[in-house]
Amino acid sequence: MYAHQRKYEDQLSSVPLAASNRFDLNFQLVLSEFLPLVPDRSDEFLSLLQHELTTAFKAGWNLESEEWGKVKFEGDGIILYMQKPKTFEDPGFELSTEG
Amino acid sequence: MAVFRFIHLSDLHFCLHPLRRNLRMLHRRRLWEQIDSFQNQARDLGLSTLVSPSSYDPAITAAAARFCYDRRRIIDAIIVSGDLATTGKPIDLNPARSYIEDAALSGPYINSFSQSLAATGRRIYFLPGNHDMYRDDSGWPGSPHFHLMLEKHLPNLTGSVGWWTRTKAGGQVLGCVYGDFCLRSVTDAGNVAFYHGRGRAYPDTLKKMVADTIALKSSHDRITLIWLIHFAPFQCPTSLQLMDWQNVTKEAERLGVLCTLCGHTHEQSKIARDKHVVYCSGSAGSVEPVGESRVHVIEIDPDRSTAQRQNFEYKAMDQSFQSVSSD
Repeated sequence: MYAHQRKYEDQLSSVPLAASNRFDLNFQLVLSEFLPLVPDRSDEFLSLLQHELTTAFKAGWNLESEEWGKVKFEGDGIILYMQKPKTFEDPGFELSTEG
Repeated sequence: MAVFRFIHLSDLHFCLHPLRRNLRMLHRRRLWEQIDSFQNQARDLGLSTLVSPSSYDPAITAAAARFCYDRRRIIDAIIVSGDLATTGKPIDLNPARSYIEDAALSGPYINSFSQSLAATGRRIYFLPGNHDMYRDDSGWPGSPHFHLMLEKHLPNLTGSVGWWTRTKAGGQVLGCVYGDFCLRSVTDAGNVAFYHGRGRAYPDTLKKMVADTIALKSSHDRITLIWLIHFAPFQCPTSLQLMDWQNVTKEAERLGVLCTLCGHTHEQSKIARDKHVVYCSGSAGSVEPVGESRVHVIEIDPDRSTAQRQNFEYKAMDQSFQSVSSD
């Protein structure tokens, strides 16, 4: 949901999901909609997840989709690179008018 | 080649309570999901909501909004064949109204959790379904609120019937006549046990649809005609039946209507008879049936008098609709 929404923003092509052992607040808000927890209030969960994700990415784990983009581990942060929305085009299509 | 292209959505079922499930629908789920849904819903919304109508999944309606937005440059308009909301209570209709008309800030997004089809910049044609006319969660028909809140979007509406036309630069005209067959009274259901899901092809509504269709034909030299209704005009389970549906298809065929677009069953289907085709849409938002959500792209070629449909299924993994078939 997060990437699906953010990809329509003009300036952003990537969004940090986590940095310095903390998830981005907007991402936490979305995450808390789907999981019964808020990472900032769940220290154990966060440290475990941070460790799990970091280890997985270092081991070559890939998380990506043609639909929304990919997640990468860079520096000490986890970055989401968003796929630009695909706007369908049909040069032969001519819009009708009402009436 | 001038082709009219529409996105066809149906049965979004917006509601104050997203992800609400009805007890009767729970039996279709796996046992542990039944227990989980029962427990969660009873705790969060109250035990009584288990007998309220099922509502919508926000992830699916969001995907439908993105689907429309991403295709905005290749469509003439969006058509919604009813059941925008779970009931006709203003509190349930309001998210449906917002989805139709509110301004968006980023792509189709109004904010993190709400989307709007208005962002497409395309006209949205719709009509009420039986759920939109429920006075309350018991499904009693006759709510006035759908019309009070949304009637301004229904062109040329007189009583239960309206029409609209669209014209290409080359002069080809597509006309659509839409009719509301929702029950006016519980006693019209034939059997009172089925008043929730049934409609009736009221003779006066059908007569007006016929008259509007004839009027459109006589006022345009080159017009292709379609009909838009909520209920499916073919044999359905008793509880979902449009009573006297045969009269609807008979008149549509007699008048040379190219196709009828409908929804209601939450099940994609196509019924062809002679030159008339009924395209029934799947649901673009309802929580039921799980894994069966659909949106459709309809292409109408006025020069060849043909209609074709491409069907897209919701894939939860990617939260998007992906092409699965054409018919």
